[in-house]
Amino acid sequence: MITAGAALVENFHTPAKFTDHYRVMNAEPRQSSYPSARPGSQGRAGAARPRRVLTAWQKRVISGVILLHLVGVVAGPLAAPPSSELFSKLWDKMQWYVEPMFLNHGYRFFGPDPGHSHLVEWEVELPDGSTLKGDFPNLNDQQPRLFYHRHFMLSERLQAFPDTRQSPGALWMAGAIGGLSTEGGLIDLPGDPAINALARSYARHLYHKHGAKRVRLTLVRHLIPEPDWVVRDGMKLNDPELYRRWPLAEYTEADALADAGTDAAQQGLVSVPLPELELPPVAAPEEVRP
Amino acid sequence: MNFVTQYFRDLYEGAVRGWDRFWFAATDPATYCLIRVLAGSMLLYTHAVWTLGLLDFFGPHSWVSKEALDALGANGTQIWQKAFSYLWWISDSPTLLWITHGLALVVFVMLTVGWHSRVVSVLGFIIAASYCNRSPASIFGLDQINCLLAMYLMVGPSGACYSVDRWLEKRRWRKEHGDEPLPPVEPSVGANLGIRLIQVHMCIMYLFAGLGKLAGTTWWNGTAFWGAVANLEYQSIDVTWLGGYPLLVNVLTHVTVLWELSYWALVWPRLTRPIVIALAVPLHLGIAFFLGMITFGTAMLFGNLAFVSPWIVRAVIDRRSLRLPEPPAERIEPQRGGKRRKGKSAGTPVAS
Repeated sequence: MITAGAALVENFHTPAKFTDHYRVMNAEPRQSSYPSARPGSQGRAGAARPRRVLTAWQKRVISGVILLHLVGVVAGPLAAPPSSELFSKLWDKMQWYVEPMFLNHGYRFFGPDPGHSHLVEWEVELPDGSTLKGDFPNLNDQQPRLFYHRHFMLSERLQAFPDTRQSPGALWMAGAIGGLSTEGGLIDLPGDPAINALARSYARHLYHKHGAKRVRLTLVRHLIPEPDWVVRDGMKLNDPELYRRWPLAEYTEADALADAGTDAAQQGLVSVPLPELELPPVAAPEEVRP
Repeated sequence: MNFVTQYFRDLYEGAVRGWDRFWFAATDPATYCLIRVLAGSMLLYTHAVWTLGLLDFFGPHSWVSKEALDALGANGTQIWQKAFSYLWWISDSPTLLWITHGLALVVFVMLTVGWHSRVVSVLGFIIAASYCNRSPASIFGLDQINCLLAMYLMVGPSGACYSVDRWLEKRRWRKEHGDEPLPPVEPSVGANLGIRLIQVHMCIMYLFAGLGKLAGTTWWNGTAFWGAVANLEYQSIDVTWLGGYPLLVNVLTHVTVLWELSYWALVWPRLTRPIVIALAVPLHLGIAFFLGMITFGTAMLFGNLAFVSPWIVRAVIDRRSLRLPEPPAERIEPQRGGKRRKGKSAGTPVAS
């Protein structure tokens, strides 16, 4: 008796067509025993436990779940802006499933265009008057590479949330043609309070981490040079001409007090008068960059 | 009208049969289990790296505050409104955070080695999704593919082989049956479902990656590849010399888009599948080594493994299974067109 295990070996050792291998390995389970069975096990099919067979109703239920899941899988990329009203409604209907299952992705890797990258420079003013400076991402500070990339994504997110009715490239274009207002000291990205909220969140993190008195953030856009500039003119990728800077956010004690009030309110402590903010002890500056 | 009715009847019956065969055929879980080992390792590494900035990313004053997430949810996209993360419950307590993080790493170790695989595969997905949902501003493609694989490892018996579970099963069998060999791992509908879901999801992912690129200018004018390699923040190996070869940059750009757009169609036919999967290797290794995303590039290759047949996995990993008795005589010397080819065994290698 030639079992499928033997058939596999025949096919493996016989330079037959590639499709033969596939056919053997994907044979109907009822027609062939286990194709990758080990030597000596070919005659023991009866020793294996009986295979559970799904009933028609079980298959129908599982099929329904599969269909629902696949709709959820495509709902994310279809609803990523720019999207139609139809796909937006699809997203609304599927949100209950897509978000908990972490399927809310557009899958637009390096799309629509590989853009300029963004960095954040920070300056922390300590209570003793000294300052700390740094930036992220920074390969010298953040290793291994994955840890660096986590910080890189933080800074990249500052350009990753365009207005919902705006194409992803539009914001990039707005930056490219200098359409971003820097009046008032803060970058003003069109119709996107999320950017400011994120920037404020980053500043708040640095404020508490360093026990600071004031934190200032600067958004740095690192432009991609033309090939000729690099190949013909010898320009380096870190040439200062390729960097553009905008003030991004500022976080002070007043902001911290306001946030403390918000936190207390969220915890149901609003009836208690807010105490004066007690700053954490000032850590000795470990690194001061010029 | 009769033939029209017949056409739709055939269409319906064919679709039902095809659907049934595609999703509900039992398969060898070898590929599925190999993906568990590799994806588990990647999940373990990914979360081990979170250790370096646990409080920075998930602590009381993390990079992304609750208010910032609320703002993200309020900007019309409603992206994180229903996203679950148990880390929100403990983010104010560094001690609890460290304890649960340690437990999470233990879960990923167990997933990788396949110990209590059914339970830890579910826990693994909940943990991975929770980390991503808690700090969505610091995630990228790696986290998407990590969670994708973790999600589908919940579906089938991911610890059926290459696992501690299997080793323990062998030990129990020996105690009960002595020297009688343990029956081979059963073909599994669950493993097939898991593999099929990974395959379909990979197709959807590449399709939208390709479609997303069509909305850009540089993927059409052929310069996008330059935009990627000339980005200093991504760059890990300098290949800006490519700028001196614009046609090569064009070719690499267009091949990337064409490959992504055609993946969902060409990866299914038996004859084109090896080519499509083979092209995934340089593409993702290029991302890994030139664009500084080794983890992402490697994880995408793990996802592509779903298209590798179990017999290939068995051939590579279970080398013993190839040492079988001599093939039957009638297969050793194939006669084609009445001619016997020259050379030893006429092109039929003998098992060594």
